[in-house]
Amino acid sequence: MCKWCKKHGAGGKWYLNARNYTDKLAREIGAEEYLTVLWKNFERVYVQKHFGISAKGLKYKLQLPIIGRLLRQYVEYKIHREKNLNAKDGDGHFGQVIPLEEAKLILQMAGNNEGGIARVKCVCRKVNRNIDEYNCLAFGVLAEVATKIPRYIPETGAIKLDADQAAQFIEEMNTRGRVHTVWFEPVPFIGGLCSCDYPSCTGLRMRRDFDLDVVYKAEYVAMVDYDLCVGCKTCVTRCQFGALNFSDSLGKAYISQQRCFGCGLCKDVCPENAIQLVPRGEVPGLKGDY
Amino acid sequence: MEITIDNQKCTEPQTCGRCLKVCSPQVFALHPLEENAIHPERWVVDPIWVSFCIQCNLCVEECPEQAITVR
Repeated sequence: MCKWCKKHGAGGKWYLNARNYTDKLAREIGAEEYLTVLWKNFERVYVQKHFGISAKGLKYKLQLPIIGRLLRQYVEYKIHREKNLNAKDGDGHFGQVIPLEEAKLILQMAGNNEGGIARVKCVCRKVNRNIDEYNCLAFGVLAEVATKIPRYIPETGAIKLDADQAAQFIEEMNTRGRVHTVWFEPVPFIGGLCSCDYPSCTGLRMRRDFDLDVVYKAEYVAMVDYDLCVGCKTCVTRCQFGALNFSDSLGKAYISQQRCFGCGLCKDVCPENAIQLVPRGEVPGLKGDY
Repeated sequence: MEITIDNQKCTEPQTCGRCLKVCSPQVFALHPLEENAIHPERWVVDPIWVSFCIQCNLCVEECPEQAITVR
């Protein structure tokens, strides 16, 4: 169980704690004010300077001997802080990869809020590829805030979904090969569920290319049952994390559990049910590796 | 390694965005110039992930305004 589950999970996983979706919690922590500022400035999060330091050339800066380590600590501290948030910098906004089954449980909880569920433009895809795609699901207060900012909704108006429509939508996203991620916005309020791919998703890029914990690995890890795998290669295009390849010498799919983020996309297409998601905590060598 | 974008020449990146799509290592980021904008008027492209540039020069060739230089 990750540290955010201990803090905000009420004994379970943080994203399965119904309290984290409620309007009451959002009011208590001032989520509406935070989200209004964040979403007006979302595209600018990584271009602003902090103490004169910008994200430009971040890879090089993080590799510097002493300054690099301090910079990493500072950035991680900012990402995960829970008080005195600077919304313009996206403080307190981070997430975790989840499998489809849990994404559906989330939508049931999120659908109960006043603001409901809205499909809004993916900020990452706009910023990184200038693609207008309405595939991020915003919950509650965020659904209200984001749909008031014209550039995040289609010209024809905001797209509101009920829990079942949203579940159908993420199933389609899963078929297309998108990784499901759930986001604190700001911690501990859960603002949305995204359908990500690398590198267009800034969160996955920050994690994969800089090893910054903007996105945590899922509570699971994928394992191939070599007795069942027939080597059909259906799964090999599905991995966004470079964890899965076809091993010609084995004649079967190979998954690196060190690299696996536990999204379950490979498992979802396996015609032989040869891939299982195993809870990370049950694998001694991977316990706590988020 | 330096990538510069001439914002005098690149005036409407939000309708063009060809450099963003052609760049394999995804070096560029598109964002509104002004803070707190509800209706951003001016968008700019920033070579924010310059560390990933492989100097393939595809962006330089693709830019219809010849606004990008890679050195």
